[in-house]
Amino acid sequence: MGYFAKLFSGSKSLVSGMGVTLKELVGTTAQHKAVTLQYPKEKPVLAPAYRSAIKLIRFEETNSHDCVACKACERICPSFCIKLDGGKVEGIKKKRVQTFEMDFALCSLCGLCLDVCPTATLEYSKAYDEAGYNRDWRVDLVAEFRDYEEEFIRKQRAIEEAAAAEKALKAEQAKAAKEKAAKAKAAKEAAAKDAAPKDDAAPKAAKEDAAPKDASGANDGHTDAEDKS
Amino acid sequence: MGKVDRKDGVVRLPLVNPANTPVRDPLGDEAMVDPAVVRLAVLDDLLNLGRANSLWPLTFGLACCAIEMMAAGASKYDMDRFGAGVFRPSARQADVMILAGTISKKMSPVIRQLWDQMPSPKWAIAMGGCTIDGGPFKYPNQYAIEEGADKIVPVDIYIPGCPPRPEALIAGILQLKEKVKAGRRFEG
Amino acid sequence: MSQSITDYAPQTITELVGNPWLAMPMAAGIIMGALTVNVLMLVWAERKVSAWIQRRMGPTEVGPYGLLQTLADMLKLISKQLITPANIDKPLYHLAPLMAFAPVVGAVALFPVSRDYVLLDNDLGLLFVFALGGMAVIAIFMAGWGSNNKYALLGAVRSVAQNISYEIPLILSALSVVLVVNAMGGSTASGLNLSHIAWVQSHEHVWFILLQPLAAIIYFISALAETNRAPFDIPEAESELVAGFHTEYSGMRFSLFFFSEYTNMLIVSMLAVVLFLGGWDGPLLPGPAWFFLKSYALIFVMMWVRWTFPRLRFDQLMTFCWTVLIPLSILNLLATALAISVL
Repeated sequence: MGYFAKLFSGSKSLVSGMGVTLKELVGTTAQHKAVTLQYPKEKPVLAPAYRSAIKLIRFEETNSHDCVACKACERICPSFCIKLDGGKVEGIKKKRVQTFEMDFALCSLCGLCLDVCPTATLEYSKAYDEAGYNRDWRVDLVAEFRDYEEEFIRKQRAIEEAAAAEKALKAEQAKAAKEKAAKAKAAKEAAAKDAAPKDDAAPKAAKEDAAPKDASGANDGHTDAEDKS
Repeated sequence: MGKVDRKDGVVRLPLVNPANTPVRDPLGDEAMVDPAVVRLAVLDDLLNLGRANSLWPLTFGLACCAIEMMAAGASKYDMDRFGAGVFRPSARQADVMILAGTISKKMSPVIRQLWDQMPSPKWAIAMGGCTIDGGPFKYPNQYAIEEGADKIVPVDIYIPGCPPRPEALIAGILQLKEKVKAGRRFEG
Repeated sequence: MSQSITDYAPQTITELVGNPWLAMPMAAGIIMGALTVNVLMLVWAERKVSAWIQRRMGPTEVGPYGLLQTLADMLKLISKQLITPANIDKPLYHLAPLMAFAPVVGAVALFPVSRDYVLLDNDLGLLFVFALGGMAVIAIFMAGWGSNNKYALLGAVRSVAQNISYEIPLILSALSVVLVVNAMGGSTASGLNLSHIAWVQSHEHVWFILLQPLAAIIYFISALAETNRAPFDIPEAESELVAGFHTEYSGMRFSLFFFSEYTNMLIVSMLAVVLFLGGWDGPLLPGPAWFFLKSYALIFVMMWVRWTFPRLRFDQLMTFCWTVLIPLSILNLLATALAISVL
């Protein structure tokens, strides 16, 4: 490129560059389109997958969390930031966490604790503007549940009792069904004994019963395949 | 989540150590409506007011948190609204050292040197878990990481997170403003 | 000063007050007050313009529209500790900020703000302004040399090379204007007198940007380089040289450099207005209003340029000066001289 062509193209690009910035300037001042989020006055819209310090989920049926102090999160945490303790509680079968501390200053928000939790009672909180004069950033996760502990025990006991009752009922039903089946079997056996001379016919009848069943099953499969194709 | 719910309904973490909550919430409406800049005051108060509203950070990033620090200085969050957007490249002209990122043992003497080069009065903000106490890199027998910025420089504000959002850094600067305005003496 | 031209007799402050011993401190007070306000507003404006160009808000929280922001900065800088590094060249280090500060304050006195008023009327005004501008280089080199800091020294060396190179097209382009002034304004007054240059443009109803467009462009580019503004701010290139020549300066010493940079902006803009944009000439509004309107419009353009273009590399900077600006300005000067002698 020649000397003057270079000068000309250079000047042109300079002017067009200044045009771009002038457009932005006018856009900000005249059209009031600054992209700034005026943070303390405006709050940010956080993404659904936003990660902050972990917290315990409050479940509706018990109005409390469901941590059973299994310590799976404490063991898997790569940053050693979770410390929890708990044990048996009078009145309910489940174990219950007593203290659950998470050091937010150590946490790297990897999310392994969420993945490993057997009762799925951990989630991320939405705290986004924490700052303080102190280096102690231990978070007390059970603090907000302390007042609801009695309520939880009551509700949990009710749930457990209901579950136990249901289980007992089911067991009874199963037992009854078993007895019934046993009775029916006994009756059949008795009937078979009575019809002992006809023992050639009985297997044949059973075979005839089974055959159409197989055929219908095969037929179903066939039609399914046709539908799919 | 927390029980310290503010007017705007933003959650605060329920901390074990309640001393960590600021004396006066700098994010409350009161602080924003009345910046108290035109208040007549004795010279000391006036100077503190000037210092609080002109916190020039050092252009200085250590690791990944520095990206969030840059974001806080960029258009979306714009720290310059509070007068804290003038990132000075020379330590001689800076007021605040934002320690943004992991401090390796190799870097720590350099940080100390930069801190010594800054003129008083000066402040330090520890941004991110690594600068508070080593963060994810802290484990028994580790040999590479300085476990906390306050082993090197006196830190005024601690911002947790990995990394903290730009809002958290701005909140930290606003809290530092409150601290400077309060008129405590700082040395070194 | 010739009295043959009836409608042109600018009053200096000495003539207004009568007593030169009273006039001097008054002039100093006026200049210092005006320049302080000017610098405070310019820094605020710079931050606002940069913010707007980047779709930000800029300072908003300190005072209405952030107007008190730079006042807070000043209060802070006054109360900052003054660090004196070890092993420095003490006289040079301590004198450098004053050397940067004093000439720019002196130069302001020469500018005719209106047809009737000027603080100091000097027949060699233009040369005086350039001479004071040249002293800025010495101050920068003193700062860089005295600081005992490699970045400061590198910045100072760059600054000297840059300023000496760019002073040539700056003065050559101004010289072609002086030729035109002498040709148009008659031989009654010196073509180097700033009031006279402005008056000729007003009297002949032509701004010299129309007669000397190339000189105007060259002057503006060289002026950007003279004031060490982006895209020619390599003496204090943050990405390479920490803060360049003022790396080791803190507190008030640093703010004196800051002060001189922004006052320099005002001076080169005012000089551009006098040389090319007709000075105080303009309809309806009074002279000073037009003068400062034009000056601040030019300063806005300088800010606009700063926040648009990236910094030049040093060899690009030098190549541009020696292969483009200097030949073009010499050609422009020759063409002007030829045109004047022919017409």
